[in-house]
Amino acid sequence: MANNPFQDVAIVATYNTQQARRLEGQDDLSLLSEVIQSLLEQSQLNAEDIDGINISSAVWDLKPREALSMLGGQDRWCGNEFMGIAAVIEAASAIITGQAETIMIACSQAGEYSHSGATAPWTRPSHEFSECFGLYTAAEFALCAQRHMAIYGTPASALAEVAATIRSNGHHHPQAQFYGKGLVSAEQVLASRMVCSPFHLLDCCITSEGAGGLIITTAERARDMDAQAVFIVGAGTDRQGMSYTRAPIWDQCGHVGQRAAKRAFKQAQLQPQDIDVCEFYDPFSFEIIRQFEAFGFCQPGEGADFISDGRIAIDGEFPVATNGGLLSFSHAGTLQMLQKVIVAYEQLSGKMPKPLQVKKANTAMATNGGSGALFCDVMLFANEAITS
Amino acid sequence: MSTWGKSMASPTENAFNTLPEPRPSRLTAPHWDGCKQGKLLAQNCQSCFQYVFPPQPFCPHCITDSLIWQSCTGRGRIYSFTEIHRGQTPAFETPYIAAIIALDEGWHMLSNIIASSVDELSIDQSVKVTFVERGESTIPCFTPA
Ligand SMILES: [Zn+2]
Repeated sequence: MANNPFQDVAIVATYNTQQARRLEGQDDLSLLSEVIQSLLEQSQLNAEDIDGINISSAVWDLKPREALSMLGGQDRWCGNEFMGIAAVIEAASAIITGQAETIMIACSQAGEYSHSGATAPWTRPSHEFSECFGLYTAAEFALCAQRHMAIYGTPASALAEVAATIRSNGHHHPQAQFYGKGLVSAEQVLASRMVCSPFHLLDCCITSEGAGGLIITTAERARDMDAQAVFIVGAGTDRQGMSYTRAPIWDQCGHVGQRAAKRAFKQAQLQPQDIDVCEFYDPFSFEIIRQFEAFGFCQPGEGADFISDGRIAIDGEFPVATNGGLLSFSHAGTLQMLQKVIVAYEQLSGKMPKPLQVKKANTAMATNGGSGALFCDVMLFANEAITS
Repeated sequence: MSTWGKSMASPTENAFNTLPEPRPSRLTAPHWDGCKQGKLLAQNCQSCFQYVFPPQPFCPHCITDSLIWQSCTGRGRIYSFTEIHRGQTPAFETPYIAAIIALDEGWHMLSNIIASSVDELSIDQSVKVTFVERGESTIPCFTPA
């Protein structure tokens, strides 16, 4: 592809609030207010300059169309897609096709979690062919990991190394839920209580409150703004149907995201080995191993070896989930999906906290979803448009 | 009810203290009715002869309206399993075993395995169906064969 239209779109500002298990005195609307004001201030834009939005919240169930009135009632493009990367693809497509020029995407969640006795409400499927058997998100992903471990001999220690690496990143990020809570070792992961085999507690994502957002615009406008621009250079989505409604059969869902990644790499004229930062979705440690295989960084079954020896650490060849990810930074509503894009921007624009800044970060890959969820979306970024 | 913000009402305590029962639809009722009669039913396509589960309105393999309900042997193998220590809700007595069963007829389903210890289970092991009463419903579970 000689000319990839995605490269005419750039991210020019991102913002995260503090992330925490509970943000006392906050609700998801107060957090959105902080995000919107901060994004406008950072980008030196006025609300009138934003001619498209996709703003939503989890607890209030604020829909983008309702959110329009929060920025004044002027005519604007309005997004519908609620999931991070997919929402950015939708907005970028609107910009490429001339429907809008500058779009703000933001989401938040605060003020939920009333039933600590049960798994978090959204992780419980209501589908009759999974609910009756006591399945929930972690168990669905565990069924994928167990099959991989049986086929390829993937050891639990490899999962633990992934979890330890990502959780230790979160220790260094001031906005992370687990900031300053200490570095985590693989031994600690393996010693934590079992949730559903093979996942120990520290292999699993946390639950959080928080908000975040970003502004994307045309590459041309980005240059005029003198903002730090990070370009979208490729993207794709793979969906296999509704999550948690049927058995996650490894032979059918283990590769999910492969088609999307192939298309994204082709658009970007990049290969897996060209990626400097891997902001892979990490609901459970095993998913990092899976994605390296599915996206072609290594062969099927080689993921456990691939992630070893510090290769996925900040100073490694392919650093993953550099802000601490869903295991340590935050896991709030659908925000955590957007946060994969936000951290990719922060890495490529040199805005990460010092211990987490990847040196020579010129390209990044962000992903959402996973095997157990039957979908995977990917997006590639570069700090310069790749032209040919 | 306000359109601004969803209801903050929590699920009733009852929802957490009672094991979930299926809520059959027109599409799925034959499967659950079969369980009550001690039969494991799945859809089979009379055009391409593939099995279809969970139930679909038409065959997703050959896109024809040729699905009929067929009784299966209830025998299969463990495709994957997980021992669950944190239950879906407090109604589930932990630990319990959730699994994907690969049925001999070539279709897959999620279920529970009833076994004295998880240590006696392995992937690809043979299992057979057993039906467990739950409230008004009957749930298909599996035991080592
Ligand atoms: Zn057919």
